[in-house]
Amino acid sequence: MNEVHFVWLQTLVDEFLDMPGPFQMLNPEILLMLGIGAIGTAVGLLAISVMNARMPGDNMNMQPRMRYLFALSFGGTGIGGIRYSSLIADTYGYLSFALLLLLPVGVSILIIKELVRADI
Amino acid sequence: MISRLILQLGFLIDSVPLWLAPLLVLLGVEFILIWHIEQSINVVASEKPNQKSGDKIAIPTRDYKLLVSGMTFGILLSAIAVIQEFQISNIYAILLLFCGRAIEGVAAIRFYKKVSRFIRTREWGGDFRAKMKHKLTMLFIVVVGFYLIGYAIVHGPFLRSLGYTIQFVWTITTLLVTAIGLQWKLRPVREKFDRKLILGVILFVTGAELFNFAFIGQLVATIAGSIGYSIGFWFAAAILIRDQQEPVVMGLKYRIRDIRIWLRS
Repeated sequence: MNEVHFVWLQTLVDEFLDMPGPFQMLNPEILLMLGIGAIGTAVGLLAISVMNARMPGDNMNMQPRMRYLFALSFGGTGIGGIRYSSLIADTYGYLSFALLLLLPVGVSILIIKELVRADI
Repeated sequence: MISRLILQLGFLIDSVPLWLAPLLVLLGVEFILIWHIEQSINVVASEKPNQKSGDKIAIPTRDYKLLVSGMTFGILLSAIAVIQEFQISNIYAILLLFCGRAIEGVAAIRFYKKVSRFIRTREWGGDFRAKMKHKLTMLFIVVVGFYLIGYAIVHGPFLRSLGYTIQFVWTITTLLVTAIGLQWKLRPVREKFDRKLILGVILFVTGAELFNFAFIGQLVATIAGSIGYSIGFWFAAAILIRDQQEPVVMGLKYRIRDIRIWLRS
């Protein structure tokens, strides 16, 4: 009886266990496009924040919806950049990968230094 | 000892599900990225809702969070694209394992400091109860792991086949043992660093520890781990010598000074 009732659960568990890993989920081009879109959007938000802070008066203070629209357009421009030049896209990718390589090493050095100096 | 033995089984047993180790690695790196991006943004801007704070640019809280998450996910996705394109996830995992072992290499230096302190003061120091609690927790996890494997052998597998169940229990046991062990080792620096950074390090080292390598990859990982441990050890030793915090030498100096004072009196 149990076997009949819990087939769906077994299927669900099997599918969960067989999910593709984060390195197999999407193809590199789509990942790069999403990545550059996200970075572009973030840079857009930063640009608006700088603009709001540096420009005098309240006229420059955009409504949140407008801010996000502007930021998204920045992200869209980033994605457009990929279509225009794969060199830009590759540079983005390599720089991000370099950061991912250097960060754990730097963090480990920081932690080792502090661990040695820490009280026992 | 038992936990070490469990980790050594990694040579024979693959961790399952296959996506777990890469996911842990990426989560760990993402936490470190968040810490790094926040630090970088905080140089020029601050998270304050609609008000100026000194020379820094004030960013509303929601925008600040969106900015950090956009940057970090963007960098992570772009880097995954490169890893995927060149099929170098194994090499990246070996680098992370190298970093993790380097951190573990410092433990020997700390033990040396402890012994030196004992010679000087006749006291071991440290919180004995906390240490006992940690050791008992580790023992409990290992015992429960063995019990579950025994239960699966007697009463049948919980997941798919018996082999898969054993692999799964081994994976979870290793994950917990590594994460708790590393958390214990990083305890002295917990106050100095952001919680995200510590969590990130624990996650990426645990993920690298569970990463499934082919036979050659496993050999390279073992060699890289040993080199990392040695480099961590000597790097820590160099810092200790440079800072002139050599307790044994200092202890001897104090002893000689005491003897001199005693002789004079």
